[in-house]
Amino acid sequence: MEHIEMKWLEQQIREWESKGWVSHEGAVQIRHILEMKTGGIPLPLLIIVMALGLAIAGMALIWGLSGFWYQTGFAFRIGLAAGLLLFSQIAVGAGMLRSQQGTWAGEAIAVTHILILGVALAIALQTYYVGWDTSSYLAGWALLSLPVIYLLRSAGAVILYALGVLFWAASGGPVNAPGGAAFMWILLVLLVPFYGLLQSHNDEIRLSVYSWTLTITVFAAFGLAALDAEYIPFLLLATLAAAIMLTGYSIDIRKAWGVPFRWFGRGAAAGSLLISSLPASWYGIARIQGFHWTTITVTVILFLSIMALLLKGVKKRFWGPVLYAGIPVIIAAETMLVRSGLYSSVPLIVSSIYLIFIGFYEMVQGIQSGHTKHTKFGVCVLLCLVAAFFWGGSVSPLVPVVAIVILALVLVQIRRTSDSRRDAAERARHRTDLRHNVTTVRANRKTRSRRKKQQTPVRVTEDPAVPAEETADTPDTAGTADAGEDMPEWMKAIHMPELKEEQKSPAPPADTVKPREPELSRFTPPVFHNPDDIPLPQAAPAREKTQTPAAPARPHGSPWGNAAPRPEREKHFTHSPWSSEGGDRK
Amino acid sequence: MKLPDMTLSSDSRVKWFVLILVSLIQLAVLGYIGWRWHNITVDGIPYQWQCVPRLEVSSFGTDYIRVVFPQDTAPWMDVAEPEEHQTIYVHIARDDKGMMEIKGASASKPLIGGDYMEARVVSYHDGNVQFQVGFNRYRIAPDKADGIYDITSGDSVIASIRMKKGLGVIEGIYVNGIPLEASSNGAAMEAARSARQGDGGSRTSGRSRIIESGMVPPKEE
Repeated sequence: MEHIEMKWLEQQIREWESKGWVSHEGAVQIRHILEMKTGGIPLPLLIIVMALGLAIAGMALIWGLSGFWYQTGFAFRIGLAAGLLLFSQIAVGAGMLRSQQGTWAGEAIAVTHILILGVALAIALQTYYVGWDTSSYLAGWALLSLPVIYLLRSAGAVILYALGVLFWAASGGPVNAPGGAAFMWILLVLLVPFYGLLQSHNDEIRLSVYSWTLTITVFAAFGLAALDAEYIPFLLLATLAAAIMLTGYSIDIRKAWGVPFRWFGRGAAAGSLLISSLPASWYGIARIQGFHWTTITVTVILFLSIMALLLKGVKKRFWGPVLYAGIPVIIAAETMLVRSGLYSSVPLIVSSIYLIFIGFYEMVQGIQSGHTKHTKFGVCVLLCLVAAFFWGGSVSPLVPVVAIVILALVLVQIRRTSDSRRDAAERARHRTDLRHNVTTVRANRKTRSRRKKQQTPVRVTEDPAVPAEETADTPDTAGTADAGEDMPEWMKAIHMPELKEEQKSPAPPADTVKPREPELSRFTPPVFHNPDDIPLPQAAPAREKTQTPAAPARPHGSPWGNAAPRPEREKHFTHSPWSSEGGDRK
Repeated sequence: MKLPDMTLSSDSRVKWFVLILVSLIQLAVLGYIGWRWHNITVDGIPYQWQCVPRLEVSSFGTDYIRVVFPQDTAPWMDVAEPEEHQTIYVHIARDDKGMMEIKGASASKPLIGGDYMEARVVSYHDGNVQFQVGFNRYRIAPDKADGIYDITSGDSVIASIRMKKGLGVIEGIYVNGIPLEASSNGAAMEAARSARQGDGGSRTSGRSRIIESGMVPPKEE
């Protein structure tokens, strides 16, 4: 209908235009307005309307279902929960039967199973209510969903599990969990064998997802658990970070899944050192009665794993890992110092200096090997240190010392870098120049002087301070001087005599290498004579002396054996190019 | 017809065993949650505790009301101060009238013979700990919850609780000895409906009424 109306309108407009009732521009305007008005609902508006409609329909559905739900009995509710759970378990079994492990279908089944498990548990706990505890619910859900991660080799399930652990830690789970924060580590350690499973199947995509998820989860969970702690457990953080970083270094550097381990570990280790360089962070350590046994146990285990990784796991690279593995050792020593009652500025100074050292080490690593990430990281470390001292809440007298040391080290490093660069450039130029022989150097000089000579008029016009005649009269001098400027210092002292042939026709550098002429064979076959025919040696000398021009037949043996005396070279006295002042060479 | 190969390798046999075991554990957890509740309601020790019922606000309605227990502080019996959200054990007993008495609170369970209830620390001040118990809901049909509006400050509102191993279940709430459900509009409507049904039976016997019982206000002030 609308289409017919549009056609009729179009005909009308054409008719009006032909009759002259409307101009051509007017017809175009009318068509434009019509198109705008009959273009239908714009897409964004349609999306908004659809979203609103779906939301209203969803709310109505939930409202209706909830009304029905409140009329149902306990048996129906728990039966529904068990039925849903059983259905998802059968789906997991079907996925295993069809070998869907590590596939998209397997991922979907595993994620659905975990979500249904959560729903079923919630229904049961709400129906048979004896109190709602979010942290207990999340812990139970995470533990019960763990097996399906392994059974279906699902990375999506790992993400859900990690989220469950994070929410558990955020809801105060470690407070009432058996072992406190150690339970959180147990929950995370339960994921570690999954790494081996993925590696055995060489599933690189899931390995990457796993490594990123686990690294982020570990540090986020650590932060959440530390919120409730009486002190900042930066010793534990440092050991954990070093262990994770060394785990990353034990993985092949070309593999993508080692990146989060290395960089998160590096960042956390430097962060823990940064925390330990602030005075406020030590107050809690000095004030507490004693460390919890779980904290000590986890720290010791992590130390042992660091040693094991350093001895066996870390490949090829050595100094970087060792440098970062030293952070927990330093913090442990500082902690012992503080715990023994010797609270002084020593821990702050040591931590700050070590952090500065790490910052410069990373910068140098980045500059030398061209890895800009290392340079940026080093700069960030130094900036964070300075910022922490200024905005950390308590300004220590160490601030100026650190600032001065940083500046000094920066200046020294810049100078060293520039010196080494200049030396390297000089050496490279030297090496390049040594490739030329005397002839090519002279030829280059000639070429340069000729080029300068051609450019001289331009320079004359450019520099009005210099008289034009004077410059025009001494092109060779200027050219030679420029050539001398271009030459390195060690060549300026050497004076090269010029040959006559080259003065006449200076050969370009390309002609200096002349192809060697192929040598003609001078081999003369031996002639056997009858001994009677051979003349006696008494008569021979006079004839042999006359036969000296037959010398070219000599090269039967070594060409260097008995070289023919060279014709004496005609001596040419060298003339200084300044003596003639180049006037006769025009 | 070719049958699929149903033989299992030792590795896959372990996987199937794990799946079956995990499935059973998951279902058993659901079963345990239900059994625990039933066990408390059957075997739990009955207590009566003063309470204040509150309507739960929800966009889609609820089938329970919130129950607040005014006696939510107890003297702290330990040396170490409790943390916020920490699980503690409130030591309880019964007086002569069967009402609950709070003896104190501790981070550990009482010795043999002493009853207790699990609770979470809300705050701690001057040797007294404020706590919150888990059993803070009473399941009630939505149309029978409006009896809360009739409760006045002078009324005696008692929650009947069953306690076992620190966990509790509210069996009923009584306002001046009358169940909360009985003082609701829903109950009055039901009574009226049943009365109407009774009247219907009598109508068949020839008696007539001018006013329908459903039109009568459900409660007399």
